Amino acid sequence: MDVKVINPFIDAIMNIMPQLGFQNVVKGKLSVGEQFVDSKGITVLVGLTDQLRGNIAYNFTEATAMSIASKMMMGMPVATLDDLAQSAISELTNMVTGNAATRFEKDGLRVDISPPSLVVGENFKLKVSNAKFLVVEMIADSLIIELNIGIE
Amino acid sequence: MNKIRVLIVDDSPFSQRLIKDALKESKYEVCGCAGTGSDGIRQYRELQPDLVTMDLTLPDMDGLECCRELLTIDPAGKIVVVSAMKDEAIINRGTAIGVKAFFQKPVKSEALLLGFEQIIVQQRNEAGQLHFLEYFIAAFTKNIIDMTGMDVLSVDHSTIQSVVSHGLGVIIGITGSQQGRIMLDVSMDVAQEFTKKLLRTDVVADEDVFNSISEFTNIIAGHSISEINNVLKAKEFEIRLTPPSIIIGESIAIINPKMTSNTVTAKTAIGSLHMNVGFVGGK
Repeated sequence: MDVKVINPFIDAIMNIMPQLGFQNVVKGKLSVGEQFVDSKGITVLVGLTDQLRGNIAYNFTEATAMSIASKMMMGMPVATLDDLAQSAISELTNMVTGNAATRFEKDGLRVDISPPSLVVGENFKLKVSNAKFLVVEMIADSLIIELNIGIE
Repeated sequence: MNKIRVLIVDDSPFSQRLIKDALKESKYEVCGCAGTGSDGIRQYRELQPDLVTMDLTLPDMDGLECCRELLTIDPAGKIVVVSAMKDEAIINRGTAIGVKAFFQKPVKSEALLLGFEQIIVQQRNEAGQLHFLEYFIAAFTKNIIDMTGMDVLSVDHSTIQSVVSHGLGVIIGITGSQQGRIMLDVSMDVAQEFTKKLLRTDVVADEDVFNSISEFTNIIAGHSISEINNVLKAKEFEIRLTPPSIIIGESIAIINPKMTSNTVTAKTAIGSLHMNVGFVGGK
């Protein structure tokens, strides 16, 4: 897998997060994952198909997911990851993946995305690809969003 | 094309006239006008309209009460409220009864036409998606039998909002003209036993289990979608699948906020397999 596939996702986060009220968005660590993604508590899966096929797992701790949801809802307090907060987080991943898909298309790659599946629980892991996958951390106002990108 | 037939229930001839005018030269036709709730109910039985507009203040009964009676006669009835009043309490009470939309008088033509259009499209989608489920159930049971040689002892089916995994879940996204996902979910024990049947062997490694269950799900999804694409025919209605991802863990909730999904459970000699199919925009 070409490491360049992460750039549209990084650009998408850099572009979307400030629109949602985040001020300082930076790229964190980049690494390569093998086999499984260990969930931090909340993981959102979005599938890609057409000229680019694979899966993205957006990984958050519950506290981070709640802070992001709260910011997205203009500061409304979020004490539990209720329906509204779940919907906000899944909408965030939909916006980011959609934005990245548009960027791929500008580079001549047609990409179609599936609706997000929010996966919530303790001690679970996920497989996003049969091969290795790329892991990039994005940090928005000190909140860490981990993207696990597995492309066939 | 046949016009979509609308019954107006409103005691004011002026309001009846406004609604008729709003629907003039559209794909809707007013098939009847009733000035009282009881006349509305009588005409509904007789005319069986596709849509009803309901005023809230009728001489003989409350408009929402009339909606409730109509929906008792025909639970699939499509009723919108057109009233001078439109507050949160009315909307909440009406929605709870099953009213599809609320408009304030004087109703604007564009607003009413758009509202009707949304109800019709939603109805068509629900019918289509429910119909799609049959293809998934057929592919699910057929492939269990064909690929393992086991019988399917029973097939149960329920509509639910959130799914809790039994140990191993495989998710495949659905995209294209319909958006959704299919998930196959089994306990780790069933996953292992099922893989032994699939591979015709007594010993399986975890890696074999993940690969086999994932490919089994891919086959079910592929068969179902191919059948559906054959029915939909036109290229612009094509449905596509994203590659499988796997979730491993117990009591894990899988949530798709905008989705209505159906779980189909197939019982076999080695235990139960659960297939969940959901589409966005259903219900």
